[in-house]
Amino acid sequence: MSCSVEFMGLSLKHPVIVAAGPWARDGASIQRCVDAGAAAVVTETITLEANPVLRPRLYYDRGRLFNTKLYSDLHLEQWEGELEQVRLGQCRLIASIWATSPSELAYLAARMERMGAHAVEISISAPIGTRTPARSSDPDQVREFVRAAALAVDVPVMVKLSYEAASSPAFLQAIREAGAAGVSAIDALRGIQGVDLDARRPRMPTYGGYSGPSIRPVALAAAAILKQYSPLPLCSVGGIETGEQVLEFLMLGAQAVQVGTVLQLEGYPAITRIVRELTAWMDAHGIASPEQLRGAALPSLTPFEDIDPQPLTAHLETPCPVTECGLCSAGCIYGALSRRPEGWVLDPRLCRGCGLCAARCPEGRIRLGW
Amino acid sequence: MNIKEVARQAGVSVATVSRVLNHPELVQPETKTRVLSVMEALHYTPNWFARGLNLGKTRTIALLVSNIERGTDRDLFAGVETVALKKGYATFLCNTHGSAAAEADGLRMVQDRKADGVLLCAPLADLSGLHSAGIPCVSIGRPRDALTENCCYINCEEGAFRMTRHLLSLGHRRLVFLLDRSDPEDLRQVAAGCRRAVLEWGGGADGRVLLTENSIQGGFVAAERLLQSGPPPDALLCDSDELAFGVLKAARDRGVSIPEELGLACLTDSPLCTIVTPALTSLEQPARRLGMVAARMLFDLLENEEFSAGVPQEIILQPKLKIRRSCGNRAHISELFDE
Repeated sequence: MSCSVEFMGLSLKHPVIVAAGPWARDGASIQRCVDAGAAAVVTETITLEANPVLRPRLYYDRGRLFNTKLYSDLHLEQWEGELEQVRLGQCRLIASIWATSPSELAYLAARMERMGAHAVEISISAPIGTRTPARSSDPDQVREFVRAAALAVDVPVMVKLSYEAASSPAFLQAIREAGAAGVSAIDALRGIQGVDLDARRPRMPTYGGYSGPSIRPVALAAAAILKQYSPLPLCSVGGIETGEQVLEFLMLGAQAVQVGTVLQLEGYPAITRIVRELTAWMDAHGIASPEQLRGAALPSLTPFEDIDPQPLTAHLETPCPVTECGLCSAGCIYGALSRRPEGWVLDPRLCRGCGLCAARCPEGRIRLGW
Repeated sequence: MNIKEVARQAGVSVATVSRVLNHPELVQPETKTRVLSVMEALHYTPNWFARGLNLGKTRTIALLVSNIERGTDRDLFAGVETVALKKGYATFLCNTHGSAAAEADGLRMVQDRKADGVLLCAPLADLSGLHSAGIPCVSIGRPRDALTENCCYINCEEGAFRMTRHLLSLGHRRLVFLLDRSDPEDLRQVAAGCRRAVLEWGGGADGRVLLTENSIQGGFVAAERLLQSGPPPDALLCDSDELAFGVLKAARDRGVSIPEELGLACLTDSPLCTIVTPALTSLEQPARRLGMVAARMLFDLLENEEFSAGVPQEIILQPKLKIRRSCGNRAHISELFDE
């Protein structure tokens, strides 16, 4: 079995890439990603100027992570020294870059190529800072940027997309014409953690990049949409935490994936774990190469209108004695669940087969069937 | 402290120490780190004069600016120096006051003192002397005609255009542009951007250019004259923050309220723009980044022969509109995002 994949002409030893972020902010942190077994590392986004870092930078609330760091705090000259020290081995280096004009971006792309980057990722849609979402998913605004960078280098240029851009055929067409060799999607969403009611202030001073497992379903949908609109190779990003989740993205058509937030929360060993889980699953299922799985789940995605309604209802074989739970009843807007002395009972005549109680029952007592 | 002692303590040859100083890319990273840490511990600095004689390099670059008292020129210098220091170069500064004679003197000094390269703001003179002396040069400022050398600049024309269009979009129709008369090339670009916005807007829009000295006093006097001589314009767009501060003072003295009776904006942002009341809508000039870009283009030429032979490169930076409270904008969202 081999996990190796090809992405934009780069040979990767497996499909797990480290996403752009502060976990790849300098030589030492990139080395930790390499040593943990990443197939490629995307640097934190580099601009022509070192950028200050807010303190606090991260906002965290019950599994939800918000980041307010946008760009690297190192100068290009410092990056030169940092990258010189990294021993990449088989790992590939992808430089994430951003600039305010096409000529600036072209210069930066060429500089990063000279520093040894095997590819360049244009961070066009970061949800932090003053770029409006409308601008970063407007094909005309972005075409010149991508073209300038693609013309300036020989290595492949990929574009990191917001959900909006990833699901826009016009946008995908524009960046392809401009010379993009691949895309990564999705970037973090723009988020506000909450509002402090007493102070009447948001819980963070500016918008943050909202990332982590809660955005994964959005990234899955983006992968499915994008693969059907565009032939561009895709590297999926968004809340990936396990090897099996990597496989989900591959089955929706992605060539590779990027992981970020999980490293912030668990540390670099998460890379090793995810790769181990991925290979273990492939081994157990006799899969010789990720190629065999690519896009396997796409054909069974069906238009809503074409799904034949089936006469399913929920079934609870015997009354449920866990009287203090009541999740099934609380969520049943059809009133099919009621409490009797012997426990919770379900009236199939009232059930409309929505499936919520079956999905939600902590004990798996409820089953949806004919 | 000399190079032999560094070599002894680092356990390498004198030639290796010399390579670390002159061709660090040829040295193994571990060796380089060790030599550099010994140098640091011993407070060893190379004798630059002797190095200059040996290598034909002085490790200095020159920056010629027109007016170092101007905030943007100071930022530019800071950007250049940031990169130069990281490369182990010193930067010397010539202030030309926009005079061709002073620029020529500066360029002579560059050659006499054997600077390794030159950064020139808005060159007035013929640069063939530099070329024949083989001194690499990057010009800072929009080229007037064909691109003959590497150059970089902030797109002032586009900045002035966007700011003017912003004023028009807020309902201001009769505009006055209060511009700095000292730098003819800047003036031409800025005025062109303002006029383009007024022309494109069409119906009812009208713009008039007034020239003044670029200072708080200049802004104050110009605004006094303007406010005395009849009804004020709808909005006043100043070249610099200083001019706008002068206008603020004149308006306060005369009881003209900003932005209700007079919209006010400037084309050079500074930290003070957020301190005054109302906070001034302005254009953020990435002058520091421009200095860094210019220096990098120069070091590309100094370090890589193939760049000198290539087609001249041009890097254009975009200024950013910072919408605040002095022009009548009330939508908070405009203060958070670019237009």
